[in-house]
Amino acid sequence: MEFIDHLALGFGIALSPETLMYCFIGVTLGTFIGVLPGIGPLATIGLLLPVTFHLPPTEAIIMIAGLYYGAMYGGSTTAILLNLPGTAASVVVALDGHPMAQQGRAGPALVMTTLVSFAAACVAIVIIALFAPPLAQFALRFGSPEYFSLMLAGLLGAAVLVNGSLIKGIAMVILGLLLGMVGQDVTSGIPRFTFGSMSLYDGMGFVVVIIGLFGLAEVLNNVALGEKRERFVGKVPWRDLVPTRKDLRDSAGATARGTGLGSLLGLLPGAGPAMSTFAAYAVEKKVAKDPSRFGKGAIEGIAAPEAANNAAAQTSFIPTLSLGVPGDATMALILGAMMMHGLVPGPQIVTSSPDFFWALIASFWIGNLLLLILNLPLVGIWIKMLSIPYRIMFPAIVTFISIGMYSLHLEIFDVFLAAGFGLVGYLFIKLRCEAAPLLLGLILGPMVEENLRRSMLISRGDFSIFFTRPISLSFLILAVFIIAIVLGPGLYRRWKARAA
Amino acid sequence: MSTNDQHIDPTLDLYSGAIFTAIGLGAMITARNYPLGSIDRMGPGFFPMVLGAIIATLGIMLIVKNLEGFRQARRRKHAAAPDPEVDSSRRVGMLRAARSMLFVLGGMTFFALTIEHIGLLLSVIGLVIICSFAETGMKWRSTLLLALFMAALSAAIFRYGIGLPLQLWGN
Amino acid sequence: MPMLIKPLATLAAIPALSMMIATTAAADYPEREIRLIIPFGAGGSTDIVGRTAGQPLSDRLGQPFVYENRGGAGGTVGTRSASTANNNGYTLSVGSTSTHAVGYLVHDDVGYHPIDDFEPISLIAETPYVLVVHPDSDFHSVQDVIDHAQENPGDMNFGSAGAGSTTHLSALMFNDMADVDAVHIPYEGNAEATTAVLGREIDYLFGSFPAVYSAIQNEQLRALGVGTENRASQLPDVPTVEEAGVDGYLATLWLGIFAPAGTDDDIVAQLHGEIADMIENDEAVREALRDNGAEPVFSESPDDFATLIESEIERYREIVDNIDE
Repeated sequence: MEFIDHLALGFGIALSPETLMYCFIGVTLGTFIGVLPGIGPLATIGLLLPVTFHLPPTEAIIMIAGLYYGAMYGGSTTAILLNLPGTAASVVVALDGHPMAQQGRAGPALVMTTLVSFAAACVAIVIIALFAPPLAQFALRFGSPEYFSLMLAGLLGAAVLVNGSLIKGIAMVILGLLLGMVGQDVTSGIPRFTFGSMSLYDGMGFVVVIIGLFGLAEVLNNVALGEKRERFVGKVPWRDLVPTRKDLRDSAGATARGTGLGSLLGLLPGAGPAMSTFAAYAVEKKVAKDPSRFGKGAIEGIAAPEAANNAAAQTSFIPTLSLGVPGDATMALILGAMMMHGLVPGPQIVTSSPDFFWALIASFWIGNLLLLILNLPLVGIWIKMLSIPYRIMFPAIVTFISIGMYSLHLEIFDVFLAAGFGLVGYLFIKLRCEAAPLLLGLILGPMVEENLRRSMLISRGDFSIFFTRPISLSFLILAVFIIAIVLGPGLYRRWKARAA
Repeated sequence: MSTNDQHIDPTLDLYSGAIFTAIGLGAMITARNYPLGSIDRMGPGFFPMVLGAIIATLGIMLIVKNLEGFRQARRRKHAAAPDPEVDSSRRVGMLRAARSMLFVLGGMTFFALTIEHIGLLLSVIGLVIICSFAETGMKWRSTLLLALFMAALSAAIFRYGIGLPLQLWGN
Repeated sequence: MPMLIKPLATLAAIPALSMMIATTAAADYPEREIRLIIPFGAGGSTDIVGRTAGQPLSDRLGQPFVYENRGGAGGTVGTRSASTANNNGYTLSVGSTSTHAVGYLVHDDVGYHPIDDFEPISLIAETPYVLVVHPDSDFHSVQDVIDHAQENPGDMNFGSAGAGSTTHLSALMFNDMADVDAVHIPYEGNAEATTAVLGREIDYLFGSFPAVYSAIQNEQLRALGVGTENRASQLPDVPTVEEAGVDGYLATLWLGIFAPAGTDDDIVAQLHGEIADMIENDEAVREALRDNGAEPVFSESPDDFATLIESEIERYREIVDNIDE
């Protein structure tokens, strides 16, 4: 079978000692740098890209792929242990991962994230290998109206994801959208809400906002709580580091659903990976027998978004490789690296450089495997970090946050911005406003607006464009459905009470 | 999910509502500076204006919804005898919070203002020392040790490990 | 945290090693590392061209280059910081049509003057803007596009990588010169705009060459014309837009090396000599630039480069002034 031959070719190259070593270096470096707060996959690859310039192309790209996975994984680690998420995906993983860590179950949480990533990667690799070209064509059917409707449904999904009132959830999403408006407007070129500052011209870096709202706010809150803060102290026996049979059983379904969602949404440039994690979490909460466990350390709340994120990360290579169009900033960086090594992305890459293409596919899988192997001994070390007294821990965290924010663009403004959002995040904690939906709004904000405006430009002002295109219409129906299942039971009760 | 919100203090939701309303109105006022455009050619002011209006409306809804609960809570508070213990523990909590803000954010401000002048090492040392004041019972010895350690670690990781163009000692 | 040190220290050797470069000591300058500010993110086309030329230049000068990616606001943020950098010859920057012509004109206050605040040294590369359409469309030549647009005014959509971007201005210049009335649909960046042609959401696009090159090769896009004076070596069968009938049309993205104003004349001359010689004679560099969709070019003298920038600013100024219809 052709497919097997191809994979064999890929594994043959990727398993050569040299390639394996670069993959391992990538994964290791990525993990250690990704652990630093605020330095996510994008920054890690950006920082280490020059290192790969001296390598042969295949090795270089495989090392970058390793960096990518390592950094994503490192990000999840800090998110779970310290509630310091660096990416949209790890924000969602931290919702239940951090409570688990506080309950002394950081080990299972960390191991689970690798196991789940690995499982999702296995599935996504088969999808890429078998269906990349047709799926890329499908992604092209998403024009501006389809994106707008999809994101509308996604944002509503994020608003209902939180514990608490729907009004607050929606208000936080809208607040995120508003924050996303800051900076130069793509459609007109006019700077908005920048208050004359060039530093805000490109908008507020979402890494800065995440680190402020989640990480720094958490530090402020913990310091303010003093001895009252919830902290896990005590020893974890070695066997408690790995997930229990029950953990595995509980996460199996969640992993499968997350992988499915992630594989599909990953095809859509820009919006995909972030939305898939939020969607996967919302779905789990909806299908769970006892939704109240979520946000308090439910293992499905880690498994589903982690699976979705990894599957999406893999399938987002499909538009990158087969259309030559990068799905997000990280993909753009990888694409740039490929071009720098003389590899021109596009469908012809499969035929013109089959060794490269299949080796890359194989190395996704190997990278994940290495991550799993690397992670098991590391988990013990990460856990020990939790027993460092907080009065030593928090100045260290603030130091890493400050340097991390500054190093993003070498702008001191970003440090101030993170500090400001730390204050806002602390206020949100005190007011019981959950910040996760805001984040999706912030990421999707500019895209929602641009796609709405583009749709109106293309249709010359006719709103029916959203209803006459089948894909767009189905997302709008989904949006109505989301609202209905949330408001439905309450309205029904009220109607019944009134009728009685 | 959206049904278990009864546990939240109505006062908090009232404040949230007030903040959302203020943000919404602020956004609408600022958005007036940008052209609104028309439906087929939406201007840069259109979307922020709509968002501002929605968030302000949601804020008002929150206020209205919690006004009654807020009044009841206040009545209950007035009716109950003043409890000096609760009051003083609240005051301690607020002081702690203020202290944590002041020193943590102060440390970051120090870092931001000095990193491009005195270099990474001194800037980090200052940051760690200022930050450490955020907790009561700060000990100089361990703080200084931590500051030196963090400065060395930062230099090792960011300057030498990742190779960021950071000056260690300033110009 | 201490457990971080050991592996990191071991791995720290990698970038350090990569910076060790054979030396051929010049007279005085340069005697230490040179900082090259790239006003766009790592992996973007400016970054790729900058590093492709920077590496061999650093070999020639015998000193390592430290690349500093300072992206933001169409490259104007990094360029502003380059304009105020120490003018001792140890800080250079990569500048382009975006930063030294279009960006300067489009943004209200960039905080620098593209010529007065710099010593332009030399061009290094040039890439065309390419008029692309979907391969299933009826447009087989530049004239087809013009004819269709003139018969159906306001009916066609053209894309860009954002309002006020170079791709937007290249298209506006085309519309103006060919007397075409079409609707502008802006996208966030080259990748999105390219996808929009692939998905047939827009009819035509003046795409940046590196962004559309692979799709053209795969016949996912049809190239109708290139904006350069001469045909692109990678697309010998595609006419220039001028050849195709739009008289005087010229839209290219050029990239060059700059020093801050007041840099010593000898240093500027030395750098110019090295760059010009390298671009002209070093086949490996020429090859590497072409692989990345860029045509190697150099300026005869720093003054030549300054004149080019001046004329570019003038050419675009008119279009920018008419942008707010």
